[in-house]
Amino acid sequence: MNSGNQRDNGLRNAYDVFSEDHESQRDELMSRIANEPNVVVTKSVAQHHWYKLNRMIATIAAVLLIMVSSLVLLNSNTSVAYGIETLTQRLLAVRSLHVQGFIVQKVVNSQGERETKKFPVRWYFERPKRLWLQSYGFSDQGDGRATVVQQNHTVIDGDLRVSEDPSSGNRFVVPVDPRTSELMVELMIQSLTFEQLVHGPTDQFSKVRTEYANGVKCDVYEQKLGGLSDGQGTLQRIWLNPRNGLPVRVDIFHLSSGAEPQLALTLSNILANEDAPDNLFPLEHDHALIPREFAGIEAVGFSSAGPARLGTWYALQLSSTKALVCWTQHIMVDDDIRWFTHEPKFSLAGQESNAVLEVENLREFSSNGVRWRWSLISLSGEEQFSGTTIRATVTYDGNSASGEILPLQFPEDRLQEAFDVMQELTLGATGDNVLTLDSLVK
Amino acid sequence: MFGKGRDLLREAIDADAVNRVQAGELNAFAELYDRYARLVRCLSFEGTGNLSDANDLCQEVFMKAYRQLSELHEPGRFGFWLTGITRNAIIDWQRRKSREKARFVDSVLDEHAGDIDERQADQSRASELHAMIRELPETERMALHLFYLDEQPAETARQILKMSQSGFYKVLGRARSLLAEKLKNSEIANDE
Repeated sequence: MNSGNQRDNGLRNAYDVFSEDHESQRDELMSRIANEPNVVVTKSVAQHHWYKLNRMIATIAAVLLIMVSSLVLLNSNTSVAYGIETLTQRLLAVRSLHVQGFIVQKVVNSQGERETKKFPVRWYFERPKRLWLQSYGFSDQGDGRATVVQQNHTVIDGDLRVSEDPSSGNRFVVPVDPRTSELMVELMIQSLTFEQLVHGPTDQFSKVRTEYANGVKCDVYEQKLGGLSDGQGTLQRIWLNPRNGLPVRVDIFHLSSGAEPQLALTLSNILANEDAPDNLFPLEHDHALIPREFAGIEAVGFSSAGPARLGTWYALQLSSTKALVCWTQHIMVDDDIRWFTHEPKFSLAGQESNAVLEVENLREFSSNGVRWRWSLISLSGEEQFSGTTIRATVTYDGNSASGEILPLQFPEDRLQEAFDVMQELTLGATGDNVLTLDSLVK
Repeated sequence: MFGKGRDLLREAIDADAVNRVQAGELNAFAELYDRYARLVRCLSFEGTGNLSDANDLCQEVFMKAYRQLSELHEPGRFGFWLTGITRNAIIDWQRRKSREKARFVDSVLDEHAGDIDERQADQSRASELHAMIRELPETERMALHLFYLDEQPAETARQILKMSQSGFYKVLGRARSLLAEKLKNSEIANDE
């Protein structure tokens, strides 16, 4: 084997061994599969429009997460008393949070009976780029079939990311750009914070009593969500340490008219600004490390309607009324991609709002072969961004693809840095194309 | 841009097949099998050292994939997900067989012990090549596997290895150079 051609032929022959019995093995596999329970996934009416967030984010959004709390006092000798009003800002500034608790969930067991079970959850995050998360997803199969409980384990540590599904044993470790890690960790933190700790504007809470929780004398606040017009709703209760303004305990109940509130989630053992517990980090990544090159940005979420696809990257809240959103859209026509054929409509998600969103397309760029746009979304009227997600919707031939984007919030001293990182990853660090924060906020 | 369009198309084709399986269309799983089974068999061969076990492991991997398909939230990343299942299946297999130290060259030859001489010679040559390929770094090995087993190697490399098209061909070139060097050394050793 002296020439390149001979060598190539030799290699092709060497690889032929993996094709030899392919067809018979495929037939054998398919006959085995035919005897398996089918894997039909029950999907909602809006399945075509379902927004396929990044697996980690989707898990968080779809899952009821619970934690119970005990809080370490940061400045126990301080006399400053904090109320609920600025809780969101304090959570955005906390360095780390370690939370453990459990979800209370009704599931169908293997005998087809409905029962209530507790599922322990735990998460630890440390700004700017460390996160350890255990969460669950529940999928009711209907027809008396057992509920599918999906357990997810996600770890991000700087330039590595682990995703593990303990139920299947799948575990991947991939290198990640540490700048992207910061954005991903921040998005997950803020998703958890706004979903589990402070749902909606804090002015909806009212102080109901003072009592001890985990040895701390706390102010207890409550808010009801969901109007109860259909007899359903949610009650959220927070035990707040008035000394440092951080939650000591959070409970969430399902409400239904004529019935006692049902505990859905309790959050405990909340340790703020502590170092990571032993054994969470560093990551084990020997055999499962999957090498990769950083070729550009990747969509955080995407969805499709027919041949039309919509993808989103990260968004940044610039002020109480302005946010930057990075998105892409295309349709496939034969083998050809046509970009930006259907402009998405932007609206506020998850609330009845008549807010008018003005959209200004600012920049277009390519990354990893995909064309993206940065758009400035401005709120008019009295509405303000406050942990509020933006919904982008593309309609194609009567079907729609939509996605929700949470604009990341940063304290004033980190906003410029976050803005710069996002620009650097998309438009570059310098040049005429680069946006400036000052010009956008004005 | 055309190349990237093909990348996205490949992702869309996988997503379409996964969605159809999830909707109850079993034949769509055969399409996924046809697309990825050779690669899974090859990776399993690397991990097990013999073709018979590699074939069994490949079937096991696809059975697992089928049973867990409802947990795949990004159907377009089927290939990436499947290689993860394969890696874990290999680890499990190696744990089960930790006391066995079968050499894959012998095993491959055993597999075809009854074949005619000419075929034995081919198998022997193939086994030697695979032994050399196994000595390459993981990324280079994967690039070679994809190039010789996949109809759209660069597109699949992008999906599985998160590698750009130019990055893939760069790694492939390096893999070929390393392999050529090993072959040359082997021939010199045989001549001596």
